[in-house]
Amino acid sequence: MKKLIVSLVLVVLASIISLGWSISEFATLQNPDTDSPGTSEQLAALKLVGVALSHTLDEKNSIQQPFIDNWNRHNQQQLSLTPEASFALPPSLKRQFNSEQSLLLESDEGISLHYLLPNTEQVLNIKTQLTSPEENDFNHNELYTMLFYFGVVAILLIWVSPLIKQLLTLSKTTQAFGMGELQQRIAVSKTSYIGTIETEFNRMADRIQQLIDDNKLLSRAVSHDLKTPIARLRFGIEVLEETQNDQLRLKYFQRLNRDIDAMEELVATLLNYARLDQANIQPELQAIEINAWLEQKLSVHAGGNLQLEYIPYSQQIIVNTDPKYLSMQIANLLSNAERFGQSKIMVRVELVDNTTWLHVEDDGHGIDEAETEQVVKPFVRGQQSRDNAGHGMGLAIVKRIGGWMGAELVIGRSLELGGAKISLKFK
Amino acid sequence: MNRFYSWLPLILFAAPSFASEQKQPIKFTATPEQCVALHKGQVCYQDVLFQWQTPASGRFCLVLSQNQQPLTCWEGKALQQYKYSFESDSTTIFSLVSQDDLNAVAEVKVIVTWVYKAPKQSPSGWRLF
Repeated sequence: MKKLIVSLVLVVLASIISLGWSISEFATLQNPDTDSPGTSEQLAALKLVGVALSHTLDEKNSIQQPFIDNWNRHNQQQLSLTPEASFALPPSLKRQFNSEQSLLLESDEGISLHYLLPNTEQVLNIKTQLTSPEENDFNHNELYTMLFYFGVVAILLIWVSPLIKQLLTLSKTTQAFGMGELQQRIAVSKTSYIGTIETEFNRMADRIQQLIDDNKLLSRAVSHDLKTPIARLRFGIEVLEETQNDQLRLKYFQRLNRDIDAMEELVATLLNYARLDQANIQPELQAIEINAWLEQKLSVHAGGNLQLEYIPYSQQIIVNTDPKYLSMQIANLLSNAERFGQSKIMVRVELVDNTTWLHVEDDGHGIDEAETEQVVKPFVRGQQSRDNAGHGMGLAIVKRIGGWMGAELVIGRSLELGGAKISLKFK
Repeated sequence: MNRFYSWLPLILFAAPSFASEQKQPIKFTATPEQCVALHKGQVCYQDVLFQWQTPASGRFCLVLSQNQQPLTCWEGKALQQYKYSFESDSTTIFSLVSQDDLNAVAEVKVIVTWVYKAPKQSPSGWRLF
């Protein structure tokens, strides 16, 4: 928004100043007023002459006519004398003429100057061929002014056209998104005026799409994972109804209980995963020394069937993370490793190119490269875990926490143990 | 201006004809010769006295050139002046037309003038802010 306002102000100022300056320059080029005197200057000069002439000629018994004839022969401005009585004027103008003793009149033939000669009771007329410059210059000025305003409008239109285009794209995309085309995104260019809005829209769209995808996946998975225990329950109850043997009944009851437990566990897992939604969580990030922290965690955790080896890094490494969620991630990774490993688990901290890595490796079958993208989705289990217990939520949880805590999940193959190597890459 | 152009053919046609035929130009005057209005475009009112000296023979008319409308007509020297209430917003030509050959034998112009107003020019030139 800041960019938009700044560029708007700049464009307006720059266009006004540059257009104003260039039109002024052009106008002075077109009207070289300084070279020849304009009408107003000539009139001013004639007024001076006229006053002088009127004083000169206003003398009784002076020889006026020969002078006037002479003057008229040699000058463009024509002099004449008329008796004051036959110089007809409207009353208001007459009063003005009498008091000011001079009058400027204009006709289609030019501007004329008139002077009252009080002594001889005559009027001196000076006819010129000057015309009022008003119209011509006014047209020019009007033209320049129009040019200026149209120029400003044109420049502003040019400036605003990308904005309009961007707004149209935004409107079209939001409409399409609203109509259900969830894959709609806006291509954000660096020069966009509304880049922040576009980026925010894309993020919003990403999030909505992810939510909807999650929703679909979960409902599909839940319905699938619930079907089995429900079918077993129904079968169990039918068998129970037909059985008279108390011992068998007891056994069937225990089985029913187990099925209900499985369903409960599934619901609990689901709720856990749903709670890990970023919107509901405010991670309390703090700096911890990863080597010592991990050592303490693992010492508490030890107790599985497999051998756990921990290789800390040679130096202290400080990582900015939320220990509560990091231990949740590690617990999930360790339980995976215990489930799939044969005999050994290796936990290793490493520093490569200023990036801290935490590897959990096992000596199981590992995860095929083709499967790495699938197994991080909730309720998706890898080829090796078809017959295994669990709902396929472990890696999904680790990935989801890593997504908002800045600890990326990377799946590879352990070189030393030959099984899976699941790594957390800290920012 | 359009009116002027409509008289133009008449003037061009008439001028050489009376110059060659009439050796003695007929004296024809209007007093006053100008009508002063307060503003440009305003209708100007003025009593104008036309005076002339026509030859003893022939029939003549005083004609408003603009629309060829005769104001008055007479025989020879029967009438030598005419008082006319002029009203117009533009310069008007009056002519004496001989009814024998319909040629204008003389003409006079009553000029409509108005008080000159110096155009207001802003010092900044073209900018009309």
